Amino acid sequence: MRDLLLATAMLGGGVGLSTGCSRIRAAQTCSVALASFVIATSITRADISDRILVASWILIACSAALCWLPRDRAPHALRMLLSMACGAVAGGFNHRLLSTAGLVFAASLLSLTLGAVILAAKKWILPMRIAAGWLVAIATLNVSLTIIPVTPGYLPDHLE
Amino acid sequence: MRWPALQGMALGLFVSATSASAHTGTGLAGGFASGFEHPLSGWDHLLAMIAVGLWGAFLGRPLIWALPITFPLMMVVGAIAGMFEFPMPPVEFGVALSVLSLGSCIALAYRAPTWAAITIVAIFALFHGYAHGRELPSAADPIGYSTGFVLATGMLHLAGVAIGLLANHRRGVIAIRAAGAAIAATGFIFVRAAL
Repeated sequence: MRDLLLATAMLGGGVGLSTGCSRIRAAQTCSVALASFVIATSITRADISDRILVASWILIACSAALCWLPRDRAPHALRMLLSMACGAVAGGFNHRLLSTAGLVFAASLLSLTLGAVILAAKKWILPMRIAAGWLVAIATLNVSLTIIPVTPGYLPDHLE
Repeated sequence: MRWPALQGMALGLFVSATSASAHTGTGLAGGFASGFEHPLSGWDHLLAMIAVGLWGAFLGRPLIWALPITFPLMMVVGAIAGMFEFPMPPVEFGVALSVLSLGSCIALAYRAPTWAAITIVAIFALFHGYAHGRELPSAADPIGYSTGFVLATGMLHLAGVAIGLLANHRRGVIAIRAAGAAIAATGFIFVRAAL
């Protein structure tokens, strides 16, 4: 459950960074992510499988990596598609509206978008690229953690 | 025992009671916090990561941002190698050598070409990541733990970059080179201990 909350926050963060790095249509991209989050939350009934968690880390890595492309070089359609997918996956983790996960997603998405837009306006793109690098690193590591059954130092708790 | 004494003992127990600690290792809080703390708890990791930021700031663009991106990414590759138990040269020696080498580069004001600086940092990052991956983690949330240590690593780079920005001043350059010499000296001690 805690993993899902972390992934949800990072999905919002990834979309926020990639949206802020683009020069145009930040509000539109944000709205698409939030709308797909709400729709996915409304229609999801089943528990989320591990595969969706892997997909979420891959989406986080892809959306953060968009920050490394020269500004305005990433196709807007791709940015929108990734935002929609991130919102949908985060919504899939969520079971009801106005939950903690919903607030975490919205807060990380909006705060990072706003922060990134302000930094981009001042032409301080480098901090965002560094933060995007960290997100890619975390997402890559977490994808591998979902593949490996037992890490070398990992002793499962007796409740697991 | 008198009633007021019992009341006093009960109050004392109530005030000094802590939460049960049977399951503090699991969940995001324990995993993330211990992962975040891990690079800060060892001088070898801490000095190497600060040195990466310092050297990047000293070398200027593009390495001021390329090194803090390269290190966490290659550290993750090393961590994955550690988790899958790929064979590596002695990791402790590699980590110690990273402190000595990066400190020396700063102390000697070595202006490495971009490709060389990235290669040096990438190779050392593999060793640091491998060490983290092998220790990942005992009865704690591994995803939270790994997120914590990557973020802490990034923060240490930024601390190094912030200190390295003193290089814009003449006296600052001397201070940074002196700091590099101190890091290299500490690295030498680590290398001696690892041999």
